Amino acid sequence: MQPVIHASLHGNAFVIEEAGYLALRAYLDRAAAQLSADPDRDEILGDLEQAIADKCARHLGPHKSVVTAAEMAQVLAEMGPVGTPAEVGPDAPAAPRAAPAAGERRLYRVLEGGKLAGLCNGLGAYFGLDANLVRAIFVVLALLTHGAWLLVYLVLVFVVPAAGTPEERAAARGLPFSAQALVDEAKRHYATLEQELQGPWARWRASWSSGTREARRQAREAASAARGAWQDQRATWGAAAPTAPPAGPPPIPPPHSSSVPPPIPPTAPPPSWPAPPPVPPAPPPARYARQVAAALMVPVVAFWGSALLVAEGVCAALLIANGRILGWSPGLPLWGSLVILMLLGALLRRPIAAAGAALRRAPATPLSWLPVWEAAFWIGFVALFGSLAWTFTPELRSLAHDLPGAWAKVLASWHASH
Amino acid sequence: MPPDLDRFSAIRKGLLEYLVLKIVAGDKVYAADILGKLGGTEFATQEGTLYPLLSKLRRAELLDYQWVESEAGPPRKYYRLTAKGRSWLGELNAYWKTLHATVDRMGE
Repeated sequence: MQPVIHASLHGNAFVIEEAGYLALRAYLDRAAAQLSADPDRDEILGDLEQAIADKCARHLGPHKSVVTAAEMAQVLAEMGPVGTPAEVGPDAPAAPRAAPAAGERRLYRVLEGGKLAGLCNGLGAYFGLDANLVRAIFVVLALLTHGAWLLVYLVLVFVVPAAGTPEERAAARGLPFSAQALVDEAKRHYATLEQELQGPWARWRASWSSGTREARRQAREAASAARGAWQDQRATWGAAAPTAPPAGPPPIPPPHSSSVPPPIPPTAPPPSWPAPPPVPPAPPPARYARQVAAALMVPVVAFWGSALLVAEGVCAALLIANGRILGWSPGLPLWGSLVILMLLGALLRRPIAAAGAALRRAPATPLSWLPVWEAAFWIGFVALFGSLAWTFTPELRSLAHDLPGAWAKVLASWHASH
Repeated sequence: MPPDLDRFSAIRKGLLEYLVLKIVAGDKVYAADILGKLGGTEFATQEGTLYPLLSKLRRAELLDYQWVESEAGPPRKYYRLTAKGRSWLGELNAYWKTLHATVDRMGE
C-alpha cells in the first residue's frame, strides 16, 4: 500500500504516489529556479505541467487511476532537465538560480536531537538559541519556582505540535523547504555516512586530497572561463558575417586577428544566431581558502573555550571551599551562586560555541577531519589549563578528593535557604 | 553517440534554434510535433529544453502561436513563423550553406 497525493497539473487532476509527487515537486521547483530570470517563466512552467500531464495520462487507464513513483520518474526523465542551452542570444539573460526565500518559522517540538519531548530543542530552533541553553534556563526556572515550571513544560508539550514531516522540520528552523533541498540533504548524509565508515585517518587523507583537488579544479575552471569568454567574444564578431551581402567573393571565415567587429547592415539585425554560448558562471568562492582559515581558527576557539571551562571549574571549587572567589563573596546561598556561575559560564561560552559552529559550517563541503582537529586542540588545552589549575588551586584538589562532602555542602545551603 | 562526439554537443545545441525554425516553417505545428521530428536524429530534444527555447523565439518575435481547441484534451498551442522569423530563417539558410561550403573546402 502506498500513500497518494492529489495534484493539479495545469488544471488536470492527478492522483500520484507520494514519492512520485515529491520527485515531481522537486522537478518543478528546480525548473522554476532555472527560469527565475525568464520573463515568461509562468507560461513555460504551465507548458511543462501540461506536457507532464499528457505523459502521465498515457500511464492511466480505466482500471488504473494512480501514477506510480516509477512512472513519474520515467515521465520526468523524458521531460529532461529544464534549461536553456540554446538561450544564448545577447539579449537573453543568464538564468541564475533563485536565492531560496527564507521560510516562515513556526514553533514545533523537534524530536530529532531532543532530550525529552523535543520542546527545548524546538524553542532553541525557533529563537535561534542553543538547545542546551534553553534546557539550562528551564532547569533553573524549575528550581526557582520549586517545580511549578515543570507544569508549564508539560502544558507546552501538549500544546506545541511535534514536527513530523520534513516540511515542518524545515519550518521549525525557518528554512525554506523544497523537495530538492530534501534530496540534497539526503545525499549529503549519505556522503558523510560513507566517510564515517572509513577510519579517521583514511577520512582525513580523503578530505585533504579532495581539498587540493578542489583547489586545482577551481583554478582550471577559472582558466577555462576566461578562455571561454574570449572565444565567445570572437564568435560574436564572427556572427555578423552571414548578414553581409551574399553577392561578391565567397564569404571570409570569421576573422582571426581583427579586433574590430565587421559592420552590421542596417536591415533587421540578427536576433541571436549564431551567438556565443553563455559565459560559464563565475567559479565558486575559494572553498579551499576557507577550509584553511577554518583549520587555523580552530586552535584559537579551542584555547578560549577550554580556558573558560577550566576557569569555571576553578571558580566553582573556590566557591564550595571558601564561599568566595578571590576575596569576593557573592552574598548568596552557595547553591544560588553555583547556578549563577553555571549560567554565566554558559552565556560566556555561547559566542565561542557559535564561533565553533560557524567554523564547522564555513566550508561548503563538510570537513570530516575538522572535528578531529578541533577535539585534539580542546583536549590539549583543557589538559594544559587543567593541570595548571590543579597545581595552583588546592581547593580544586580538595574538591576532587571529597566530592560527596562538596555535594552535601550544596544541599545544606539549599535546605538552609528554605 | 560515441563519447568523442560528445565534445561537439555545443554545435548541436547551437543549431537547435535553426532546426526548430525550419520545422515550424514547414507547417503549423505544436510542440509534440517538433519533438517528434527532432527525435531519432542527433538533435533529439526534450520538453525541458524545447519550451524555454520556444518561449525565447516568441519573445524575439520570430514565431507566434495560437490556441487551437482539440477534440481530446485541453487547447493546444500551434506555432507558426512570423514574417520576421521567415526572413531570419532565409538568412540562416544562406549562412548555413556558406558554413558548410567553408568546412568542405577547408584543407583542400
